[in-house]
Amino acid sequence: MDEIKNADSVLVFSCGLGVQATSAVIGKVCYPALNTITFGGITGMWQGTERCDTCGNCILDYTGGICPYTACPKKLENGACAGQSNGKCEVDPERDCGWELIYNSLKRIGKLDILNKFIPPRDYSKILPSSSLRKTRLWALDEEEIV
Amino acid sequence: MESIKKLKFEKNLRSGKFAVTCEIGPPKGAEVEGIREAAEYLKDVADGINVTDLQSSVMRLGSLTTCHLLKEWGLDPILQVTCRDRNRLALQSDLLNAYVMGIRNVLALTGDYTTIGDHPQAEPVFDIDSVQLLWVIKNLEEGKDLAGKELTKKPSFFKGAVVNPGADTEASYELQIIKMKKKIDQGAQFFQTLAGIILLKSEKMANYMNKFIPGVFVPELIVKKMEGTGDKVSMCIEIASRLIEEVKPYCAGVHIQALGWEKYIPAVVKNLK
Repeated sequence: MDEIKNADSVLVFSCGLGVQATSAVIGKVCYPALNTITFGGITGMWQGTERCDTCGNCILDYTGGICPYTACPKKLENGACAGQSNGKCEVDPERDCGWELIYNSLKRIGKLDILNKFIPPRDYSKILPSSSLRKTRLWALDEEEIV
Repeated sequence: MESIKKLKFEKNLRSGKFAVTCEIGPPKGAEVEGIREAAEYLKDVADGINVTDLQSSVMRLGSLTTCHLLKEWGLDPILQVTCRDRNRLALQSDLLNAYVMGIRNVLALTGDYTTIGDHPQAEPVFDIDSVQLLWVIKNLEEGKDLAGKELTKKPSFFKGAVVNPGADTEASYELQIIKMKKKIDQGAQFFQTLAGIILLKSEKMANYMNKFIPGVFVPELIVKKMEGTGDKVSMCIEIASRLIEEVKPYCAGVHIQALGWEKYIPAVVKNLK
């Protein structure tokens, strides 16, 4: 624990879910050491997978450990749209604005200056076809049953 | 075609003149008589005409074609481009289309979400965001597309972006400012507020906007004023003129949204000239 407390930042070897879970707990910049394109393989303890888009373009270290692709319906990478109202999303007033969460997270760890960085468009060629078509672990099991 | 009032908007804004921009929402269908009439009222009072891009995610005539018509009719259109309906291929191509048609003013926006409009079943695209769209335009102006491929001729635009001054939380306010700076870094040359001076037709309209239009808020005081008058048109002109007088010291111009009441805009801006 002391090692984590004394660290400037933490490198997380997991899918985007693990990076987000770690960020939420330790209050430091968490760098994704992997660039998740599928949940295939050993799964962690996080319930559900909706918070990681398995897009191979992980930018969680720029966004306070909150994924703008899953937290924002418009998948905005460079900041909030103008549609939010009282911190809630234009698409669903029950839902928190993803960028409001990102801002508050970066503020909490004193890293708001990260927001000034321009994030270029994501590279969709990394995730086409979709991750569900690439879950090789399950596919391999299917194959085995047939044989 | 090239000779008529070319770049009136950019020229006037750069000269320091208090600029007036108005808005034309393309029609739902192929009838363009309505916008031709609106254009007639706006021709002499507006420096630039914003043309909305499937505003509020409602399917209608396109921004590009409407801009082309306005140009033919002697106005200087501002092409609004949102990221909701087109991916990076289509956006770049439309920017080239605009340049070839002689359209020079471009306003880069994110766009409303699809579910608030009349085709909630549609796939929302949002392949790139508004800051990246400005970056894309910068690339095109430098003669390269997003894939790094050379263009045969470099287009050139007067590039604008929007900012929402009505942000209501610390985070949303700060994010608007941060994003505004990013937009400047990526080449934005002018800014317009997301909602401008909207000509308020009735208290009912105010209540509707407060409830349904993201980022728009009409204060109670103004709603009451509208409620208490028998002459909605005069009150509308009075409210809009007062607002413009009050914001004038703080900005380079105003954006007026008439929403069908274009014929009253000359009265609203009468005292400005």
